[in-house]
Amino acid sequence: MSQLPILPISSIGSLPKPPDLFQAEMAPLEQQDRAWMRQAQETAVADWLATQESLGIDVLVDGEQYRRSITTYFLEGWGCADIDPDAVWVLDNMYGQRAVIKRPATESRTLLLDWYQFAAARAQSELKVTVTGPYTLRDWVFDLHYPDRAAAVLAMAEYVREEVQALVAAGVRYLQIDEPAFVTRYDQPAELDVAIEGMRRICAGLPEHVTIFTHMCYGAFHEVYPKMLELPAQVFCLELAHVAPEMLDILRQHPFPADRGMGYGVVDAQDPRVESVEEIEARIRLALEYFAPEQLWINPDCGLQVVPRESAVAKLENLVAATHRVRQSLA
Amino acid sequence: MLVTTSGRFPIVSNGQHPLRAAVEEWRARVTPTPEAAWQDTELRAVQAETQAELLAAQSEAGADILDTGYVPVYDEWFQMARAAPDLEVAAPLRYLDTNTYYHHWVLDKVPKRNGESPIVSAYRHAASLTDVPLKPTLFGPYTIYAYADRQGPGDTPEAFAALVDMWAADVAALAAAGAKYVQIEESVVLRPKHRADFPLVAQAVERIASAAPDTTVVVHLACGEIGDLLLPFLEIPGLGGLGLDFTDAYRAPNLAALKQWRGDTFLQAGIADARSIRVETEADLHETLNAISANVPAERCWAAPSTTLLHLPRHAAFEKLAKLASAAHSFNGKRTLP
Ligand SMILES: [Zn+2]
Repeated sequence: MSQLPILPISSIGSLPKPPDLFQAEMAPLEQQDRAWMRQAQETAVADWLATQESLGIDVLVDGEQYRRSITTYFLEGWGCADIDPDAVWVLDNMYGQRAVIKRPATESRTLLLDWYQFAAARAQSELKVTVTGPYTLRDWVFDLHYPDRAAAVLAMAEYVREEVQALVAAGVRYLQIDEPAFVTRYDQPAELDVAIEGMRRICAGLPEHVTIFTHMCYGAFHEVYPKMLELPAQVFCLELAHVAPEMLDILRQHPFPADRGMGYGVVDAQDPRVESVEEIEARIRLALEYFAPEQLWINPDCGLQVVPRESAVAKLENLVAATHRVRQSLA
Repeated sequence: MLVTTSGRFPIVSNGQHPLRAAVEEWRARVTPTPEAAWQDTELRAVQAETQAELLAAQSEAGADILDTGYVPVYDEWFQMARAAPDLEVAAPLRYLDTNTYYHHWVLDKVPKRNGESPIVSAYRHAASLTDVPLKPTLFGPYTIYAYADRQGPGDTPEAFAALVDMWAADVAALAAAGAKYVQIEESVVLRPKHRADFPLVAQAVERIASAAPDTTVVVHLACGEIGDLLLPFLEIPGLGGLGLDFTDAYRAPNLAALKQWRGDTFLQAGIADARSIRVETEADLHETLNAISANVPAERCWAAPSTTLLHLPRHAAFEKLAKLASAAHSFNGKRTLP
């Protein structure tokens, strides 16, 4: 972390896909032209790495150009789930295909290794690898195999741990474990404990030079704070562009610990409207009222995959400009 | 024991459904807005056909009190907003922990009703298609209020009372159209930070029930523990039925709470887990029904899914409903044997 500037800027995870790739991946796996897909995915990853570097992002992501969704990519890839053909309603006229866990993993748990190596060979800047956390891998899908939710989460934790071990052995220094589902059952303390135990098993014994991030979104974070600090992450990347007053209240009551980092979300990841540099700067300055400059990271609220590409690029551009302004005033 | 459903159903099968296709086709030819969807006669015709299909599917699965089968083009929170057209409906918000998203209201003024919501005409259409009793489901005024972006005059007791009046008027219209049952969805009040708002829900239910005195008004509370709110709910004047969740983490605490059950309110017992794809066995369902009937007479109890089956793939939703119906009907049989 020493070579990074103050207020380091990172991306969160997903970035918009080229339309032809997005269309192609909607087809069932067995109907996809795998060679064409791989080529298109590699081109898209390389393009996003170059774009982020040119924008001045300090820690890059590969944009998850090869993942259909944050759950099915892993569960299908590990061989433990099938996709239910009857898509489930999400909102408006949008329906999502859900994975159904049916068996223990049958394929190796090193899906991310060659994508990391592909990115590392192309990026000059630091890379952050994102992996879906075990609690979300269970909560957002259906399960016909494990006896209960906890058993499924802990089984998924073992598979994620194997992915992470392979990545760390290959040189990964920034690792983000996404747990957007962590905030959803906040009224059930036992659920939060299972999610925490899952992440502990993944992180146990990792070398000190590896920085663990976690990311949560869609959240009533104030419902799970300060409990969320039991997650063994060094940096918490949260959706805070429209921070709830309740969250600021609770941060005043329980100040964020000085030895943890906050990846403060400063641009909306759902709304295509591009925030101005001034708007984003004001959000960063609000963050500085609650966090010391040395513990703050600046990032979008979430992966930017649902906004159009031009909008994602413009948001990142303004995010970088706003961060530079604040850095100058801190210097 | 009667079997009822709880709100809307999934439609897509193998990626397809005529309504899904019709909405996509409509979106390509117009500027899609909720009002434009409502005005579009082609879309409304496909929605009406979908109602017929879903009514038949529920009956075939063995349900005794059916949902109207209405599937909105956007989501249910828009439906009531159509009754107050000067209100803005804003971005989608995640609803509870269900991974589904509903568009929240901007309440910046005291809302004013300007005609009935599409729920009423959907009920009339369903009632013209079947003689089986129907139970239209409405998200309740408290849920809309709790999720709303409330500002100024929209964040006042007058605004809430006006919302409740809108619901009461729609429920009165449903009753006038022949509805014997109406379900009001207010699960959010069981969430820790909303429980203190129970008096608002009580005020709403009493007012709505008084607008339709011959209709059984069921308040449905999924995904939560009833706990110390059970008796206050049972004491709401006019409450006809209470829906509770007896699945997953809520099974044990809600079974324990039933020891306090009193009066002749119907219990809509959510015993089939509407958020798990695993279809319960008849033995599982009978075990829960036995535990319930220790405190609530079987004839005052309806078997139901724990919440809307919308969260499941379509095949699983109807398999679950069929298993629920056969378990509840055979439980009935068992209880009446000498
Ligand atoms: Zn996110």
